[in-house]
Amino acid sequence: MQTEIRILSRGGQGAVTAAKLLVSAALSEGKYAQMVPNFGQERKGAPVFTFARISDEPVLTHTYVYEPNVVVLFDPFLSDLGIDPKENVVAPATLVANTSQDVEGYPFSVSFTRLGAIDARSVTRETIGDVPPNSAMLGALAKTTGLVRLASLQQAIRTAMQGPRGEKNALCAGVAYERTVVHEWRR
Amino acid sequence: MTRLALDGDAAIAEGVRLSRPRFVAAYPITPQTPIVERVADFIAVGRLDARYMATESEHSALTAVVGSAVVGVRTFTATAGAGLALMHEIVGVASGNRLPILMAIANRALPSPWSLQTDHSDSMAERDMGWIQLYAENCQEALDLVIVGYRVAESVRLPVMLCIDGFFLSHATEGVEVPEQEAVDAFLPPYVRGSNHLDPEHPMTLNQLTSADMFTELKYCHKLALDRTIEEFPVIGAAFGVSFGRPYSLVEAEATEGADLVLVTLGSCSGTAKHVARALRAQGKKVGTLKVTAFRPFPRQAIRDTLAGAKAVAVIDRSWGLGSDGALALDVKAALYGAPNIPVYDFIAGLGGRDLHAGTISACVDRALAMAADGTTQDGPEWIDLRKEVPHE
Amino acid sequence: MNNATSLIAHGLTTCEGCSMEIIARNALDVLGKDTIVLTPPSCSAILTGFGWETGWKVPAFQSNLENIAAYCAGISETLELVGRRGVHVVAFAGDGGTVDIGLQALSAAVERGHRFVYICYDNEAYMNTGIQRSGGTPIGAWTTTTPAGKKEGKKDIVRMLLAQGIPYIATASVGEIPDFRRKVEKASRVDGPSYIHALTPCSTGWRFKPKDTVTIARLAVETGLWPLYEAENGVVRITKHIKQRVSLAEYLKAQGRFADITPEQVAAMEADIGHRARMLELQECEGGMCV
Repeated sequence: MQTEIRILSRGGQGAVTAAKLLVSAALSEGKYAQMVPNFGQERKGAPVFTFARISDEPVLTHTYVYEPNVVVLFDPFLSDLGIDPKENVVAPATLVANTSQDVEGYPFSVSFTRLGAIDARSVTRETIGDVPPNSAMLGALAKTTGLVRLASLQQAIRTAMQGPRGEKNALCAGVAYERTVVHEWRR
Repeated sequence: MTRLALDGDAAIAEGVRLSRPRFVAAYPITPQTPIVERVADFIAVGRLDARYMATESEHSALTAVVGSAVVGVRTFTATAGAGLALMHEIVGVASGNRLPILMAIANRALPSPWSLQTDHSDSMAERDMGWIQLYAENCQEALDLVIVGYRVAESVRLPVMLCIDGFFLSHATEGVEVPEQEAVDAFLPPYVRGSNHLDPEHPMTLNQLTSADMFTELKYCHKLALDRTIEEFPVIGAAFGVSFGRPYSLVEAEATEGADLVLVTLGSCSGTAKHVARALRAQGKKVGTLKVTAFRPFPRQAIRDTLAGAKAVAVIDRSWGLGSDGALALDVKAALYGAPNIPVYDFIAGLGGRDLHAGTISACVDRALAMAADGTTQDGPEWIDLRKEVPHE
Repeated sequence: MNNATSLIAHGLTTCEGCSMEIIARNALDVLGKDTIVLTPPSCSAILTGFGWETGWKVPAFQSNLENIAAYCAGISETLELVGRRGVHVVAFAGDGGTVDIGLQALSAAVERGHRFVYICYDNEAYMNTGIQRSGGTPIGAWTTTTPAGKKEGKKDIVRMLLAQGIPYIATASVGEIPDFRRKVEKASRVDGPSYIHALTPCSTGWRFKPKDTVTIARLAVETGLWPLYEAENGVVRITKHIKQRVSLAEYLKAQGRFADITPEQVAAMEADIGHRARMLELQECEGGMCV
């Protein structure tokens, strides 16, 4: 089983780092994993597409993800730029969204059978400060999809960021994990 | 062995650290820069005992490395795209002087138009310069081929260009097994300087002007060293397999025997091609794959033998092939010349960072099988992932 | 210096009256056998030889035209790595390989501070390819690519490198061999880059009789056109004071290449001589700081 993940974010939100940490966490669980970034002209605030794969078998493809099973949306307002989080998703698809909105009223619910909602900005501010929401999004991803365990993620975070920074980010991921509201639709 | 999450650039840097070069010179260029940043870090913290020279250009980087190699130590440099083009003159000096330098290339399209992204136009422009040219499929191969590359280079006294696709490998993170230093030391012997070296104890003049009386013979010796590489590379690649569990050969074939179609590829799209071909075989379609790891010297015989049992061949060229066929297709066709009539179809794809995804490869398969079925021949390569809606005039 | 101990073979195929060869012989005589020498494709490549033959009795490497200093950098750093710090690394390049195409590599190698001696033999044009204009060609000089005389003045690479903070730099002349040898000796002891720029009149390209090489070289110094000085860590010292400058006309009329120089060009050259002399004197008495 290979899970294809598309991460939609903006420059400066730390999605590439998050995807690398996701790969590290999956590897530590004995899985195969891969992150492929899509770099353009580097600019804060510009849309950034990052792709990841987690699999029980070696990952052969080195390409972007076109038919994701999981979409991670760092910024719901990306749709204002014409970016459609539900584009080509493969059912049963999962969405992990950074939102302060109520899950029931979330606009993309039609295309996804599972939605994990997290107010990543608030969690990040509470636990770390005014920094990118990537650790919170990772916590939410773990909770919503179960692709990796929270403990593996936290270990990957601590390894990548030594000292208090790692601890704070690991805490952030943990709090986000707890607060993520997962909703499932049956149809 | 430790399995780490590394991108292709980092994997190469790890391979370099384990290979213990003494001298590194480089100039930053996307998407190569993280390689030399990491190597510089290793040197700064004492994990690699080497000297790092941050030169003012790629031209001077390779020049300094040639100067160092001719004194007699193991050397490393890395570049990409326009940086490799700037080095061009020295590329010939390195190989002509038979210096076993290893240079990593994070493949980047040459201008113009400008692109930060991958295709093989940079390394293809150097393909006839007498270097060994290797293309890695994934980040693990990127690391392993550094170690294999040094041993091959020092065995046949030729420089190695190790190519990884920009971004799709250079910046793509995967699990990579990082060998132990002791195991690498056991596999890769300490550097022995060549008979050509600069040392006041044995004065000799190197690299000087040569007349028509000798130029041909010296170039012929160079050719023989490349010929020898065809024999040495599989032996060393197999030895690496014994030590580390991952053998390497000139080419890697999968389900080619009796295939209706074999996809021939270089670099990171080789894995994607395997993925597509396996899926097609699961549906009963006989599609095989042939990955070319050593593009120079071109493994003519291995390719001829592998493709002999196929009914048709589709070559995917990630370089322009302007004015002729794609570089890989040209050589594949030449290798098959005189063999029983096997049609070879050439597809140009994945230029300037365009993703060479499964859909593109499937399109190549469909086109090639259709042409093979009705006996159509190609008049030059087909640009398979061209955007039809964009005006082309 | 005698042929038996010379580190350059005799009977080389340089032109009759070649001053580059005189400079090379003297430099090697001072530096000794623990020297690695590099030459670019240029007149000095004649010393590096052809086919089975070489003129050098020390290790030598033929560089490319544009990167001799980068080769020196790699060689010098590696000698240090392998514990051979005492070996001199010497670049022996012409004006074109130095002030034109080789400038980037030279400037960068000086900036990085590698230990090497760079000797530029300045014959004021691309002589090996048959007398074409370089950045080192003076105003008014005929070359095959300036058939009506060069319109622009000579690039002052010495001042450029001085401005970069090179630890040791000097001008020299084939007409003043003891001065040159002393400067090579000094350069060889510098723990970093050093540069000597020697004016080497070229009988073939400058259009004078081979026997007059040294005379012409001395005239260049005596007219003030080619001041002899050195700078150690930026401190400038004039190594030959010219009390009474010889008329520039004497220098110009001795060479066929200046046959068509205009009075305006001569005036510009004279103004330059005066300016440079004043500046050097000022630098010397100000404690040598580069202005």
